[in-house]
Amino acid sequence: MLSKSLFPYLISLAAVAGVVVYASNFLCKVSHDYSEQNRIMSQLADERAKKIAAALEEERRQHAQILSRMQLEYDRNREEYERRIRELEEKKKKDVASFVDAHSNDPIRMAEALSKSTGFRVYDGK
Amino acid sequence: MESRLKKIVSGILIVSLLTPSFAFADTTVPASQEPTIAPLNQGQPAPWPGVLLNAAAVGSVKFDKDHEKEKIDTAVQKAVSDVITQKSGEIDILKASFNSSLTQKDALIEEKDGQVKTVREENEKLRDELANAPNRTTWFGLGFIGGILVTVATAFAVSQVSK
Repeated sequence: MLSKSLFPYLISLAAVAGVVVYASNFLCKVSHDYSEQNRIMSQLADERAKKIAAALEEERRQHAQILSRMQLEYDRNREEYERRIRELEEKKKKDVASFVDAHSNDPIRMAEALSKSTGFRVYDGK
Repeated sequence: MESRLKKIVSGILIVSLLTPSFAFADTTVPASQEPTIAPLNQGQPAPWPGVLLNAAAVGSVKFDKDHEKEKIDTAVQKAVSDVITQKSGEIDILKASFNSSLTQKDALIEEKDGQVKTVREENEKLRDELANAPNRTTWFGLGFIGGILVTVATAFAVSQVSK
């Protein structure tokens, strides 16, 4: 039915077809492996990006917390300073009033008291 | 004799005119020499020109002098507390940044480890496939047989059409 002269061509065609099928099978496998590898790499990159974003967010949150705590401490320091200065001013008012009561009619004692605090000499006519 | 007397008198006058008067000023006033307080009763003359303080002013000066150390200590304490707050805050901020950097670095290392592991696995797989390679003959054979069938079928179809 088929001419004998066609056999060499048929054999050649069959060999080519065999090579094509084998090559396509190989390329399919390589392509599948490559895409699987790409998928894993991109998954790893996504995980890394998520972790870094979380770390940066945590860092930002901690910085804000620290700055807020610092502001509170500054305020507390200032309040403590103002409280002590206020107490000193109140004490001064009381002390000055009692000093006036005790010394207003006695210049010598007044001068001696001032001399004791300042170290100035009290004038004794010389 | 008279002219001699005149010469002596004029000499004395010239010397007295040329000699500065402050050289003979009273040196008993202490105000310009050392800090001195003069207690004064009302109406009593002041021994030198100066400032007269009432009892409240004296009390105020005395209090300020007595408590100046306390006032300075309070200011210094506040300044020190502020510096401690600032420095400890800076340390905490640096610690937080450092920990964040460590976490980021760990994430990067983890990713690289994963990549290395994946590539190694892939290499192993390829090596195994290359070593075994059992499918080459099978697929080639299947392709060959398939090719024969397709070619025979094509040739048959062509011969039928050409008849």
